[in-house]
Formats: sequence, structure tokens, C-alpha cells
Amino acid sequence: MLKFEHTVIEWINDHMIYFALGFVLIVAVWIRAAGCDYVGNDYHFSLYDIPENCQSFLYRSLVGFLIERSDFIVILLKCFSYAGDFAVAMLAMLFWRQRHSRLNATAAFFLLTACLLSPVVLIYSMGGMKVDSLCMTLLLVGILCFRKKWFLPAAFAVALAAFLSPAYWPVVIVLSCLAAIKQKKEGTLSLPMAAALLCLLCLLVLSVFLENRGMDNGYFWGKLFVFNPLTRESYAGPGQWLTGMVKLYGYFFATGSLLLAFDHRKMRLPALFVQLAVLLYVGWQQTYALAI
Amino acid sequence: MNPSKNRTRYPIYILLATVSVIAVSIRCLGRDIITADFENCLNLWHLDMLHAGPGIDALLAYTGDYPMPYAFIIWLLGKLPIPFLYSWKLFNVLFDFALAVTAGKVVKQLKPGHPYSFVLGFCITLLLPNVILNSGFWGQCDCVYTTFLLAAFYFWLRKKYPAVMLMLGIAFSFKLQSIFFMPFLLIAYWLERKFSILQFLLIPVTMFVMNIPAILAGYSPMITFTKYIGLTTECPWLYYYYPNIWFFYQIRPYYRFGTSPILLTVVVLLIFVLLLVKKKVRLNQENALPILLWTAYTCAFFLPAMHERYGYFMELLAVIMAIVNIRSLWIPLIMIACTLPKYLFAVGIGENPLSIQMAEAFGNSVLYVVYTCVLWSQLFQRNEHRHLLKSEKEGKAYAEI
Repeated sequence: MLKFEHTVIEWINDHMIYFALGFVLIVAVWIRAAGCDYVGNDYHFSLYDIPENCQSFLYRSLVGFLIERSDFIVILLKCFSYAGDFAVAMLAMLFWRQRHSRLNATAAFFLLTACLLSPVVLIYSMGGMKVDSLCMTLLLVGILCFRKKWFLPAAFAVALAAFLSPAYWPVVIVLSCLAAIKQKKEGTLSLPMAAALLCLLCLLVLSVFLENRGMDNGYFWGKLFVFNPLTRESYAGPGQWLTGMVKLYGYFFATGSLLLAFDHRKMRLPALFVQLAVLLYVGWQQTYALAI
Repeated sequence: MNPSKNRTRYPIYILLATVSVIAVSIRCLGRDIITADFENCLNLWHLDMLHAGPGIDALLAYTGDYPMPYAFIIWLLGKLPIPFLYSWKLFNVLFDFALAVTAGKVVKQLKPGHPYSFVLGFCITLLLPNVILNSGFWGQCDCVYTTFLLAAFYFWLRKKYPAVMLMLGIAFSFKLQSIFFMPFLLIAYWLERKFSILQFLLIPVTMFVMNIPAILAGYSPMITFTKYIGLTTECPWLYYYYPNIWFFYQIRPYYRFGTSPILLTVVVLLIFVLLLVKKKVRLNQENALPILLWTAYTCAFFLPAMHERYGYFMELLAVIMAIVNIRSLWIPLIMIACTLPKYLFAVGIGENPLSIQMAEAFGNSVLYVVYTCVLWSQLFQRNEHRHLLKSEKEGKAYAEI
């Protein structure tokens, strides 16, 4: 081998992580640009043609507002998803930096790759027009605010995530309960935190009234247990309910487990298999039922 | 000559001869099967050149999408006094034997102390169902480029790097999916630094030499490469029957999402190379085959428009790996099981409904993920288990896979 080649290879090896970082960013942007005006089925089934199928009063109103005023509604909605993807990646790096006191290039590379090029993330944001990435961003912002003891902003952030997608209310409730229990055990449950929890509860009640309005202005509870929000048709059985839950929470579990896996080695394999399970499930739906 | 050596060799020769006869007999059963690929493609190309005249300029009448060395072989086989169907299948069956010899030599190189290494590699390769069906029944020619890819790997094990490039050049002349070997070769170049980048130039030079008959017929010298440009856009589908991840997303439009899988493949390979460099993993006789299998498998798993036959090379590598270490037998078993229904369907045996295709894709996806986890944990573990891969004891190198 030529000496020159040795020198070049050594130089590239020393800087490989930076090349890899740049490449991943370019690929992430390129792939998203390819799908920026791709119209998935959820646009027709739940946003444009049958807006009542969209399970969020806030998001539905926002989309309706934009549809009337913009010719690029598809690209705009995709941009919301893409912004969420990059925001989740940034927040993941921020969390890493907080936990490990510094963020080196290797960690940044793997975090960016996982958050931006995870197949589940790509499917949800590029293939569809899901707002899950925005919801995840708001949840992470809420956790960040909570750690800094900014309780009210944390409550508003997680509530906003749940308003954007009511499927996230159980997540918000569970996280809030866990936080309250932890603070109580440590004896640090303060008045601002209690006020924030109360505020969250009020917002939950508001959301329930806003979201659970049927076509005849009646109310139906447990939107998560309803197969079709338009007709209030219930799930046929536990199996169908389970597949419905995978559809609702696929992104959350796939991305959440991925973020946990960075800090907990034992979570790596489970996170990988959660990704595979969601990927195969969504793909199976694609092949048979044109779900997204 | 040592009489005891003669006594050991006689059973081996008898076994080789017996298996060869059996292999040929089984392939003879499929000699009259005319598949859609033969009827609509190969035979038509042969007839086009046959009717264009006796000289080599008949190659100009070639309308197929196979590279020109194949066209030349089709033209030559058309001159034999036997039906083209038989001559074409005979050519591929001969290459089955070449493939088996090469596989035997690879096994012997990886397992030098075992007296039956070559025999096992030779016999098992010849009797593999996908190998039998591919050449003798389907009339496909995947054995040709696979032989040369395997030969390239063999010469890499022997550290004869110019020969590696030569074999790879010949393989490339026959099929574009020889590119499955390139990630491994680039990793070897990067990590080992035992040969120069200039030696890669032997590949296009060899390809050019292989295309001399076409150039003599009247084609431009650039036919060597331009033939492949059309091939890359010929099949605009994400899923094209190889049971990879794109089966589950086959309705997505290729014109929009066709580049994304290619980029994702590069990213996955990049992560692998990054880890190899970071962990200072060195290629050696023990881990080379698993790494070659994984890189080729990654290409087939993520790239779009993969035909069902494109797993041929990986399936053979997996079989060789299982021969070297029986504990990895589950890999070729599942791999071949996931593509066998399509082979059978192609030769007119059974159906291949969506449910079976889904099962194939599911099985192959899980296999890929599991194999990735096992291989990566073996390569990148920080403890002394990594040194087991360098153990001198026979077979222990693959003990964990």
C-alpha cells in the first residue's frame, strides 16, 4: 500500500465521526425532502376528507385553519412532523449532555442516527402526517422543565402534547403520577408542583369535553376504546383493541424505548425489538389495509 | 506414495463421484422445464442472435438486459448441435460444479485440519435445493457470478489480492449484484491496509477484457458500463420478491422513495465500519466470513428492487459458515426456507400467495435482526470473549455464532 494511502486513511479515521455526522444529517434531510409532499392515507382518512376522524380538536382546528389559507398544506403538515423529529433529536442530545456532563461526537452521532433515521420515525413522519413527533417533543420539554423545577411550564407543555393527540393523555397522567409519587417519597412535594398538577387535571377535564363530542353533540367517553371516533364503533375484541393501541402508541413506545436504551444497556435489545415489532405491524397494515 | 494416504483418498473420491452423479441426475429431472424467464427472455435473445447471422456481429441483434458476456455465451451455446434449453442448462450445471469446487476450497481454507473439509463443501453445495433449482430447473445463472465472488473471497483468504480483483471483475462482468461483495472488500482495504487502492482498477480493466467479444462485434467500449445504467432503473419497485423489509412497504411509490433505501443501506454499513474502527477490530480468517455474510445480507435486506434470487450468494455463504461451525446451522436453514417457496413457484411447483410471502418476509426480517445482534455482540464486546474468535483451536472461532 502506498504511504500516501496510509496517511489519508489515518486522517479519515481520526475525523470519521465528523464525516459520519454530516452524512447522517444530509441523509435525514434528503429522505424527508423526498417525502415532503407525499400524501399518505391518514391525510385523507383523518385530516382532509373526514376531519372528524382526527382525534384532536386542537390539531383539527389548526389543519382546518391552514387548509383555508395555504396551497402548501401537505408540505406544512409534513414540516410539523419533521420539526418534531429534529426537536426530539436535539432534546435527546440535551438530556445526554445533562446526564454525562458532556456530549462527544460519538454520542451525538448515535443519538442523531437513532432519532432521525429510525425506521419507525421515518414511517410516521415521512410516510404519514402524524403529529407524534411534536407530542414527543413537548413531553421531553415537560420533563426538562420538571427537572429544572419549572412545574407550571412543564404542566402546560405535556398538556399541549395531549391536546395535539389525546392518545397521549394516559402517558401524561402516568408520568405526572410517577413524578408526584417520587416527590412525595422524597418529601419535596411543593405548593407550585401541587398547583401544576391541579392545572393539569383541569386541562384534562377540558380536553375530555372538547374531544368526546359526537356527531349529534352527544358525548362518548373513552375515546381510546373506540375503534371509529366518527361512528363510535367499539373495538370488536381484545385483539383488535391491541392492534389499535399499537397504531396509537407505536411511535411513543418505539422512540421512548430508544431514548431509554441510550442510558440503560439492558434496554437496547428490547428497544430494537419494539422498533421491529412496530415496523412490521405498520407494514403489515400497509400490505393488507392501507392503514397509513 | 504413502499407502495410508491412498486408503484415505479412495473413499473421498468415491464420495465425490457418487454425489456428482446424484447431483447431475437430480438436475436432469428438470431439463425439460421451461420457465417464464427462459421463454420470455433467454430463448428470445438466443433466437434474435440466431436469426441475425452466423458471425459475431450477431451480438448486435441482442436485445436482452443481461451484460454482454452473457450475450456472448448465449450466442456460443446457440451454435451447439443441441437444443438451446439443454445447452443453457448444461452451462449452468457445469458452473454449479465450479461453484462446488470453489466452496470446497473455501471450507478447506477455513477449516484446514479437517480431512473432509473440501468434500463437505463440495457435496453440500451441489445438493443444496436452491442451487439445484436455480440452474437445473429454473434455468437461471446465479451460479456463474457467485462462483467468481466465492473465488474472490478464497483468494482474499490466501492474501492474493490481484486475484481478488480479477475474480471480482469477472463477477461484475456477469452480474451487477456482485456489488454485494464490495462493502466487505472496502472494509478489508480500510482495516487491513494490505493492498493499494490502485489495485481496484483491475476490476474495470477485467470487465473491459470480458466485453472484448461485444466490442469486436461492433459495440462501443463503453458497453462495459452503460449496460448497467439501464439495469438500475429497470425495476422501479421497492419490493421485487426478495423477502426483505420492503415487502411490508411495497405500495410506496418507487419514484419518490427509491433513493431512501440506498441511503439507509449506506448509513447502516457506515455505522458498522465506524464501530469496527472505534473498537479496533481486525479482519482475520475467523471473522471474515461472518462479516462478508452480514454486509452482503445488509445490501439485500435494505436495497430496493431485489429479486428473489439475489439471496443466492448469501445463502451459500451461510451454508459454508454452518459447515465450518455447525452451531450456525440455523442461519442458512431459515434463510433458504424464506426463499425456497419462490424458487418452487418459479419452476411451477405450488403457489406463492401473499400470506406465504408475508411469512417469508417476516422470517427473513427477524433472522436479519437476530444475526446482526449476534454478530455485533461478538465483534464489539469489550471482554475476553473477543479473543475466543482468535483462538487457534479448530471450530472454536465460531463458537458463539
